Amino acid sequence: MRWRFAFLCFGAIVAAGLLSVLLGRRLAPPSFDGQVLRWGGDASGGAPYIIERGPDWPPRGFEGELAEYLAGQLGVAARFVQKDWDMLPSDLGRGDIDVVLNGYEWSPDRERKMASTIPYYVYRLQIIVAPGSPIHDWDDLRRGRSGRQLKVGVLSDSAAHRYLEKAFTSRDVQIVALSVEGSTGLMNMVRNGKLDATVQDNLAALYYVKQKHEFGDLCLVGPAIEPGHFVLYVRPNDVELRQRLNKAIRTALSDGTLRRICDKYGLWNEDQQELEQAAESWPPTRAEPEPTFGDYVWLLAKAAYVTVLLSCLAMPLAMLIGLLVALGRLYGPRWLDALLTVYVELLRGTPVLMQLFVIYYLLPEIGVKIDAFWAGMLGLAINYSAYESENYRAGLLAIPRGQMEAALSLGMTRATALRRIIVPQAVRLVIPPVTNDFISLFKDTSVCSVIAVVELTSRFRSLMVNHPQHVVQLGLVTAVLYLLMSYPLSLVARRLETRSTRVI
Amino acid sequence: MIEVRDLVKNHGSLRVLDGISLAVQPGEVAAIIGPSGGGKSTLLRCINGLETFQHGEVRVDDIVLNPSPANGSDDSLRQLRRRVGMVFQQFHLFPHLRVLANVMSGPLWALHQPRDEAEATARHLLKRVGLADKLDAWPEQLSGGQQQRVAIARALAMKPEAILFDEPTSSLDPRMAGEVLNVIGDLAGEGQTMIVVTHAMSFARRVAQTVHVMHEGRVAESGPPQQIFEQPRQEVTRSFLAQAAAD
Repeated sequence: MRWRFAFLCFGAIVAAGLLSVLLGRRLAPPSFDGQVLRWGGDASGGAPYIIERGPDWPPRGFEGELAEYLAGQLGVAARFVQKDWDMLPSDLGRGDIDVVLNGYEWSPDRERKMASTIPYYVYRLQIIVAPGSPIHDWDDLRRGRSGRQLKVGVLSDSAAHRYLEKAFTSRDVQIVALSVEGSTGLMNMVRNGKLDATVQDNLAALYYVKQKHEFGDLCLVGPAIEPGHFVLYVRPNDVELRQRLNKAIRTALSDGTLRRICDKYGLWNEDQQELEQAAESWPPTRAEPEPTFGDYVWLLAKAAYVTVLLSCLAMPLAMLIGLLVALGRLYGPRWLDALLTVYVELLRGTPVLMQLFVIYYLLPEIGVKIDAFWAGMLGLAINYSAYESENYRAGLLAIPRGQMEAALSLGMTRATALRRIIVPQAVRLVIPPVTNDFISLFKDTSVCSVIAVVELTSRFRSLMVNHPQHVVQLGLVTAVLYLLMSYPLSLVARRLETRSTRVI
Repeated sequence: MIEVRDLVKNHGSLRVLDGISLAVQPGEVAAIIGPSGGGKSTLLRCINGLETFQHGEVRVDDIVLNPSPANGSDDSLRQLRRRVGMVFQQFHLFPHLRVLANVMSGPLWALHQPRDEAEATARHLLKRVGLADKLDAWPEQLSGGQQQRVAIARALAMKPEAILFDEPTSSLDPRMAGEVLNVIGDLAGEGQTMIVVTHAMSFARRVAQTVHVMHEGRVAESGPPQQIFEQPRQEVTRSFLAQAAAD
């Protein structure tokens, strides 16, 4: 009877899965419908790329206006679709958008998965600093020259991020990679001293600093280096769309529209003369060495080390705080119990992500300078301490009353009885749930990626964005690494479970 | 030297101790018998401060316990408990410590004696209760009778002036109960002051100097064992003894 039921359940799950897949996916790859050009970008990146005007208006900005122009040339309407910047290639593949148009530079890796148009802008990387900064050139970013390690902000997974990681070691410079904050957020942090400098595409530099939109007080130092091309990306099967877009871009170049739009935002410079020539032989056949599997594994392994470090530092701290909180609640005065209950409920009832933000951004406001790694560790430790305190509370309550009575009858003080008799038993009793929490912690470290800690998940994401054709391999390696961290622990947990139920 | 005067204890609306008075002299072995629910265990627990009471007084030598909310300061309670030890019906050995460590726990953590002194005392006491070969065992590996003997050794390690036994053999089968009662009998023979709450009538008869019969929170009758068991004066005593004999 039980087998039949299990079979039915299994069959139901498989059927549901198949149905959702069939309904969710079209059997043919998506393509441009010829009516509306849906172009994808991330407005949170801000000016000058995409400037939102409101729900009923198409966005302005360099790319906003370019999109309108190109659609007009194609004889279709343009529709802006807001997406996460890193996810644009997948959204393109899924068919949510027809073209990626948001500061995506050309790379051989991307060319393997998507089809590029001829470039519409030649960008470079630029250093932005606060006035009076000792940094005057790229070499000044290195620790050696200035004495202490400098904090340089970049947008996660941008060309600037990749360049800095390639050109500097982690001892030379501390790369702070953020995404939510955007270019303006980074420039703000430079302005109020949280960052020593930021390196960005020169579009943001030209618009905000040179053109004095908000950040005219900041300075551009050093030459603009590492030229690259911004292109539009379409699906490889949308061959006709690509041809028509290329034609439209050539027209924009020849009739001065592109120049006009650039000038509006202060973006035109000598580099743009190269666009015509680049269009002649596109895409370029740059012989960039494809990263080997070994490279990936090494990078991911290094990041996994950070994950292990975060977990192994955070958990003991969480256990210690948790035990103290539990003791305070059970054996302390009433007001302490009330206070600690608030602590526990607050930490359990709000997202850990939010707590990390608070620690990372709030502490510096009150003068405590804290590194991203330590902020992450502290955040996780504090969050988990709430859960551990509940575990220890349950453990302490589970110890029979007679134990305390026997200890007191021997003339021990309450404190000694707790320390020598009750707590040792309680701690052993709750090893199973505590170990389970430890296993969870390894995965929860992934939230630290939002405060720029390069742990395993954030590294996986970077690699995935830059090498979309290797998503499957990268995913497998990452999953295996996480499993390698968790599985041995579960084995230990199971062994401890059988031992602790035996002794006590 | 242990004196209880007009003790009243309520548990909610239930009056567990109804103005009970009792005295135990140094060297005396007092047995307390009576029907369940009569307040015998509660009386013992009031004496060493594990329970509070609403009215009356407990005196151990010069230490006095009153019905204040804290039932005497922490310090005086501790002093009292160092002089009066307790052995529980459920033994309550510390499961995370081996036998030797259990017996050392009092001197080590309550009296702060040096380790080797505490260990020597513990070894000696375990030999005395017949468990010299079980020093390294875990409590869970011992039988009930053995565990209770360890508990007695643990209480003895504090060198108490008196020991309270709260139904020490009620959880044991007759053979193990016999082992434990022998040990208690030996202690009595050596002049240890004791109050033993028990249902083991023949033991009470043999070893105790005074037997108190408790009923509904009061002492119904007190006297030497011979008088209580052979010529009970109170109806309560008679019916209780009749019941006990019938089992």
